[in-house]
Amino acid sequence: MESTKTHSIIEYEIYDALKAVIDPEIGINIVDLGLVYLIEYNQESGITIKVTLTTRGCPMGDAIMGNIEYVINEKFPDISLNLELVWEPQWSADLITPAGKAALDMD
Amino acid sequence: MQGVKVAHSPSLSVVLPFYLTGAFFFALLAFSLLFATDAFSGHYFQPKLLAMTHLAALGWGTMIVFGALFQLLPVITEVSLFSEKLAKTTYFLFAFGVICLAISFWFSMHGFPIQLASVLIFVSFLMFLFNVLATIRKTETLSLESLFIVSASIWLLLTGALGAIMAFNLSIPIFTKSHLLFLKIHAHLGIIGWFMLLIMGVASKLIPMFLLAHGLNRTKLKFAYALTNIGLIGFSLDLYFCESNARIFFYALLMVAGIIFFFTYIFEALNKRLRKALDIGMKHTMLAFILLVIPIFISLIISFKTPEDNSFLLKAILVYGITIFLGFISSLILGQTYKTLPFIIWIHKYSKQGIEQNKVMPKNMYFKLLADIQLLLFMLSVPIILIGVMVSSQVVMLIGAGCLFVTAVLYNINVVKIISHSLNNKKQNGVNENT
Repeated sequence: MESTKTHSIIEYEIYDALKAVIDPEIGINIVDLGLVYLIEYNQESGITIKVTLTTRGCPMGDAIMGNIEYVINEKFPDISLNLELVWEPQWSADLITPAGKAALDMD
Repeated sequence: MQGVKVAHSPSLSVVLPFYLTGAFFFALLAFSLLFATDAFSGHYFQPKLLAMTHLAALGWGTMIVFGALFQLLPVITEVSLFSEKLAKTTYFLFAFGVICLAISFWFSMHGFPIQLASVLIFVSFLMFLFNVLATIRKTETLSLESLFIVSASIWLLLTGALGAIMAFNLSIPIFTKSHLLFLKIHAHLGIIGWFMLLIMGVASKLIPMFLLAHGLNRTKLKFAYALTNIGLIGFSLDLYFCESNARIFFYALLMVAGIIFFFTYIFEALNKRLRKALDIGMKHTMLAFILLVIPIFISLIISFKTPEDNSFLLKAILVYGITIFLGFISSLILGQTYKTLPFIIWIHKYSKQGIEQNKVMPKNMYFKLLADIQLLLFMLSVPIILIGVMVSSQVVMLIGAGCLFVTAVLYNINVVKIISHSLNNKKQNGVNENT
């Protein structure tokens, strides 16, 4: 999540909610994998989330996107969701959080 | 929400019949091996060996590959499969064709049954190629992976076409040259053109993804593609027009060089992987690549010598076939089943259940203990069978075949276990199903 601005409470709640979305192949949540590029909320446009995948054409892509939609709609049923899959910047291992690295035995 | 469709999975009814039938044919192959240990004592051109080779190559290998490709092609190309109905029709024609072909070979029914089988299989290959081409045509650019898949599918059609002509040639003389000459071309169109190129294309996409390996040198894959294809084209044409000659060794070298370039790509993925631990699927996959080293060496020997009059080289050819079909291809499929089938079911059954989805993860959808035993038995069975062939011992072969049969039974149990998740009620599926 971008750290150069002040985040609303809802944005932090979204961030936490996304930790429930697991990449089923790797077994790590998408936040710790560094797949979430942007979380934004404002009253006019609702929630905007930009995510990527570890590899373009990932077979788990549909499942991950579907789950993001599911958990956000479940937690914020009255707020519209704009979910975008982006490929820039390309995902790299540098984006994995310390918790994710520990789960991958990278340390 | 906008534009989140990233993959285009076909329905389960398209993919699952291929996996189930492939698993069944693997068990049938291992079972038939128990009653055919005598078939490995002479020349490779004999009924039971031909029946088992086609059960392995078509009923087992190609059947699972078809199912996996119908699932993966839309994922790799990011467009939907052109026609699910065509894929289902392909399945019925292909499955019936393989059964007819295996029975025809086993009982030497060289008339209408084998002709019907060969035509059914050829038509199924034609349908498969059409579906692949029509799917890829929807994409904006042709990726390297797609190029491998298209090329492999074309080679498969050529393999099927030559196979059908050979089937007719058994009762209606068509060829003016030796049937065995065409058998060599037919076998290598299938092994190198279909299996090897397809495996290169799909593995180059999936293995780095499974291992979380990035920044790989894809130029290696371009060399692998070019060298393998040039070698195979040269081998087939030169063998057809000039029969056995010294240049065959050169073409074998080209194909081996292509495979080595692919190996180096996989090795680079292993070195750069973020996921250090290899699961059961990746262990089987790596074992497959290790086993492939054996036929690579043998291919250079048999392409250098004329084997027909030499009993050692005839055995080498049997070892060549066994390590390719029972070793390399079987190990790869056994492993990749665990890397694909649970995920296919999971996507359809559990992917939109939020936190609930975490209770049933793909790796928990099969009996892990059985999968581990399966790997162990498989690792025992292939060397034992090879030793049995080399020392001409039917008892040793029988022990190896027994291990392989138990391997197949365990694999079938896990395949059925995984697929049963697609039938169960969402809530009743077990957590902690590992034994």
